[in-house]
Amino acid sequence: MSGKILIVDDEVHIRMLLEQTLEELEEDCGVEILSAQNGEEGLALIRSENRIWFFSTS
Amino acid sequence: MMPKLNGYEVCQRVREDPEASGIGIVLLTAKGQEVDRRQGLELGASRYMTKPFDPDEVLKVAKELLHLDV
Repeated sequence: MSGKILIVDDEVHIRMLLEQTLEELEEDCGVEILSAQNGEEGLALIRSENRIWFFSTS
Repeated sequence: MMPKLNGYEVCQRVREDPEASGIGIVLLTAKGQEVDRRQGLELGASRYMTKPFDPDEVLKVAKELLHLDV
């Protein structure tokens, strides 16, 4: 199991920066990276997925 | 800022869900005061980081929480 990362932020450039930072885990370790643009969307994704780890910004 | 549900609230809701207990949560925020950090950790965040973020630090934390040996 490699796991998943969910990035949650309403600012698109922060999401992109985090995606760029974490993409080597996707390439090297098979980690799946998902993004959501607000808390509601993030929670909905968490409820539909297992083993997610996520970033959230306030 | 998240207009409707902020990161602290999302963190709290995830922690209220017993099925989501294994999820690691990183709060990445502009609020850098000790009181903010304490609040984040009390709400169940696994890690509390401040913006602007250090990419190496973010990667390190991600690997730790995903138990990746890289």
